[in-house]
Amino acid sequence: MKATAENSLTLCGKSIIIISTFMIFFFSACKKENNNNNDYTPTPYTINIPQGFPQMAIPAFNPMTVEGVALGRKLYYDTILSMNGRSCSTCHSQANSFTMPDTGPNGNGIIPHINLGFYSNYLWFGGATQLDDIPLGDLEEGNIFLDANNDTILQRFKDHAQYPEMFTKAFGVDITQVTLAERKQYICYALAQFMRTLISSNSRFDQYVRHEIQLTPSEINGYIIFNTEKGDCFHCHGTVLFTDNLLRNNGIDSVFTGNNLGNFNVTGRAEDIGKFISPTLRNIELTAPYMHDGRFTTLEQVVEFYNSGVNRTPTVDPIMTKPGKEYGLQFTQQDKDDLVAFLKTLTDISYINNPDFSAPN
Amino acid sequence: MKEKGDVNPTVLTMNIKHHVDGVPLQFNVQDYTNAAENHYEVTSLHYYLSNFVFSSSEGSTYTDPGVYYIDAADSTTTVVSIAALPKGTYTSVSFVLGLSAAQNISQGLPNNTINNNMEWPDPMGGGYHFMKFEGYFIDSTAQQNGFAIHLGTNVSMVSIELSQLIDAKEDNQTIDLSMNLNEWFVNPVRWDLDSLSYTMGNASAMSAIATNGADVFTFE
Repeated sequence: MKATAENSLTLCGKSIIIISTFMIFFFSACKKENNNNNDYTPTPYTINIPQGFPQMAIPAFNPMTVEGVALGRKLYYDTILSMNGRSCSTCHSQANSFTMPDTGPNGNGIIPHINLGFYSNYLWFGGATQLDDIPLGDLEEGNIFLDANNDTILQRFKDHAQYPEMFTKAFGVDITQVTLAERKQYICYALAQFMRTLISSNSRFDQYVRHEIQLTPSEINGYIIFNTEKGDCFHCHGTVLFTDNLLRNNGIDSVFTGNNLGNFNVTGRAEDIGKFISPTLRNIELTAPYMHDGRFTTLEQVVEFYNSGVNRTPTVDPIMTKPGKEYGLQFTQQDKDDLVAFLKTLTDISYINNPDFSAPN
Repeated sequence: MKEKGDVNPTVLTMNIKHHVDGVPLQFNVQDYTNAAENHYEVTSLHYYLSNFVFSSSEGSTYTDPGVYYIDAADSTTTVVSIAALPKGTYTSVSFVLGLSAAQNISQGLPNNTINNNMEWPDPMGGGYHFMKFEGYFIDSTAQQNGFAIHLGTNVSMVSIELSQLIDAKEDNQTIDLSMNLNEWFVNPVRWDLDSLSYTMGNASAMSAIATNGADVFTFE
């Protein structure tokens, strides 16, 4: 039975995407196998890609649907997945651009959920390339974030007045009858669909690019520092996502143990020691504390680190050690103020107030 | 010259290979020595190839419209397919490392993460990096140091012309196009990383490196 169930997961999950046209056929097969009713008619959900943004790669095995997004949103805000009273939104608070003003239980900063659908590398240490699989780790039994319990989740779904129908409408399955692996995957697919809708593109900087507003002289000077060799921020935090989504050692540490080993914790390769994913700077004003372990509490501290505190280690990114800048970027106080002023133009108030992203009624 | 028509085309596949004086490139290995006797390793190599023009002995030419992004560490990007090369025999190929002036403008290439990561910011003129070649070397004090050879702006476009007999009379021909990384450091400019290890913000350094780039590629 187990083997059959796993095969069923493959059919219902990733294999279908080989020919996505047949998705409904395959889902129908799963539905039939799982003895579901016949109301699986998902409504396609169209993501509007903001001007200047890259296209979003939607995996064919998890197409965006109105029902899938609604289910993912409900799950995101629900404590049903945890044994400790937490939901995803406990640590990913909309008011903080879907992070929280503290490090998480593993000592690392909570990655903000913003524009995730445009990325192909995830998590501070890297090693995760598929958004649809990311929450699987949180659903492992005893995981420090949700302290999930599989039997409890199943029973809660069985007892719930809405979830069984919502899963059926989103994926054509009876969530109370599928295998454990399938159940976790469908939960993740729904969460991923909701997270792909979390797009921020209306900061003051975006409005400036669209010629809707002017920035102040200080903000403009910060923009120039950011985007020239003077500050040299752009190589890792270039427009429009304000991240290159790559793993780099920015010189934050001189000694490497535990979490500070970064990508090495995933690959075991010496050249990856101290490398972390470049985080986006969008909404950076709202997402303190900073760096992978939240060691800086203000943007001023971050700018001062790049100005004077980069450590030269064997794996520090070559971009960080230009000759002539051994003693820092030589910023004046005005330069530092201007750079911080520019960074704050990346704050998108409409994002943290968007009712489509908030807890559902 | 007469531009060849799009009649009876074939696909010419060019496998882009990277080596250092004949030794296949390996990343993150401190194993290479250039003409200035700098010992160096390579951490990343990204660039664009574009404006391929194939010339036949009869005097006709075919211009391929493609822009090809190469990440030497990603084998999915190191194959250039000339999709509609008219069948025939060609005696020379010219191309550009970088982009033409018309292509090298902000938003000139499709919006995707690859192209966005190659952007040349507007405050520095806009457009794209033509190449990012980065790594570490051992300096004169025996310390490891970083280097980053970035090319951008129209004046540092690298024009390459290679005499090469390409028999493309049959379908689906394949040929290897190889870059020797050590050629970036020599001919005509002997490049000593100890003296200059970063080209960013240095137009004359970029021009010198671009001059060295004319002979970095060979067909095999």
